Amino acid sequence: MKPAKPLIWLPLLAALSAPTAHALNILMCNDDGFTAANLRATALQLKAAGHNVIVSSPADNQSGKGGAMNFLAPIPAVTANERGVTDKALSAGAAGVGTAPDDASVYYVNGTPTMACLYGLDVAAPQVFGKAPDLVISGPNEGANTGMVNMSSGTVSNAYYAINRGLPAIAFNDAIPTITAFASVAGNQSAHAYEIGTIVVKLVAMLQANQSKAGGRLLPPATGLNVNIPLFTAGSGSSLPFILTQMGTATDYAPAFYADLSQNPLAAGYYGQSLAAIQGKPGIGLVSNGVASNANTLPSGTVVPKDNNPKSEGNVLSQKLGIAVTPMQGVPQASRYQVEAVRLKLQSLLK
Amino acid sequence: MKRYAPLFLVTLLAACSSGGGDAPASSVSGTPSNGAQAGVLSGDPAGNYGEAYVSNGQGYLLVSTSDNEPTAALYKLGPGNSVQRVPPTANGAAVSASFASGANPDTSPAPTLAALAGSYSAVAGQQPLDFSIAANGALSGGGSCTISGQLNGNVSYGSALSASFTLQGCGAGVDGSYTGLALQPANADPARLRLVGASGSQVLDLLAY
Repeated sequence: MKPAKPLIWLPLLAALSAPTAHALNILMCNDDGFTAANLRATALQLKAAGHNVIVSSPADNQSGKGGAMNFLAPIPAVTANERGVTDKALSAGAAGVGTAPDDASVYYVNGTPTMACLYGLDVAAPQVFGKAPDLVISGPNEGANTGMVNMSSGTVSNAYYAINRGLPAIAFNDAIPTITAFASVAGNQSAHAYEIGTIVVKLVAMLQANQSKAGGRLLPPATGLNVNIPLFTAGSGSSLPFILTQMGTATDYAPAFYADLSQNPLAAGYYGQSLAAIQGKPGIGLVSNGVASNANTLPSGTVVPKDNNPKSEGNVLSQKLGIAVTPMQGVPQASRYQVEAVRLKLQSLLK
Repeated sequence: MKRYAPLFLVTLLAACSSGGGDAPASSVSGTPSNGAQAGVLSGDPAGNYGEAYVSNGQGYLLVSTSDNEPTAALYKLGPGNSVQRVPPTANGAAVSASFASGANPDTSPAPTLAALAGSYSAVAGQQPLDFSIAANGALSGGGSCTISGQLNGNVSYGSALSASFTLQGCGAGVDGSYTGLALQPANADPARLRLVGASGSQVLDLLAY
């Protein structure tokens, strides 16, 4: 009988060492660049949870690029200016598309966020998974993406494109806007980026656990999530409540054009003692239009409508009420109520 | 006798489905006994989004594919747990709809007639329809497409009032005498009124501005 015992255990051991039966094939993208700490730490956390994860992200920090793309042009080689180089992951002159030297499952593209994410969808995922990913996760972004600024967010735009490909997609955003290189926190499980990763894992696990409900998919058809994680004290991330929110328009980053950029408080604070660099110079400033509105600092004559709806993700986030979870579509489809209102106005023209 | 049992069953079902056009054995579960609620619906081919408007177990369950689509089917929840689905399913088969309550309760009261009184514009079918609601709840107005009827301020189902109305000259598939609901939809700006009802085997879900 002795020889039989190891055989009995073999299937069990194989099961323990193999990916879990519920492992998802996950594509991660972002707009901060492939060296961002939140991105890479979260990828490791998802892998530790048993998922198969690949990353496809820009070589550079591409925040604020939204869904921009360079059409019909080959990808240029990496230059010294890209974050991938300044974070010492790549050398200037490296190929425009490649893998991170420290992790072959991390792909980079010297392009915009959506270009990099499409590389993941159209090239990397078919090569690695043999099919489209089960889930696309964009971020976690270094900074919040709420309300009206979402259309300028590469993180959220990645999710839009994935949703429009028929895939479940989630944009995660960390309220802390600090740019942190993964190399500076790698292996430090108590680092903020790893704690952010545990929140991502928690939400994905909940979606999986309830996949059979409401249609049998991770998320309803043509639906994704925009998730914003508020500021929290170290170690308390796992106890943050989740709150179902609406996108609304409220944000702390509503863009407005300033003839003198130094008049925008956020820009002035960003430049600090170097304020002279922007004094008298035009540029885009950012203001809050939510419950924490400072719209009184807008240029004279400029109006950014306020959104004081307590259900708006930007207001839930600014009040640190919990993790804002907003269901969203991939296209800005008007509601039935708006469509019918337009029908009323155009009735005599409509076929 | 055993060999005849299946034949007997088929005959019975056929008899039930050939009557007034309603699916006779349809059932609904999970709706609240009182109030209004939106939620996931399973078991109905018209969609998996449901809105229940109920008072003492009676009222309506509206079915569509999402909260962004008009009602495609409705259930009249009558006395004695009677259920009538409109329209009946294509083959007259019974439907067992299960409403997942527990989320999205609408605790707002039904609108008063005074609150609804005023002038409205809508498109019924392909026809423009300008009408008004009087202080007593009377519906009237229109040109080539007209509406007449009455909102009942004394009968409400959650956040909706009982309504009966007739559309004429608005086109096939729209014209008819309806019984159903009048409500002020939440988060529906600029829509101010929603009339939902059933006429024979026909369902209407009209937004007015």
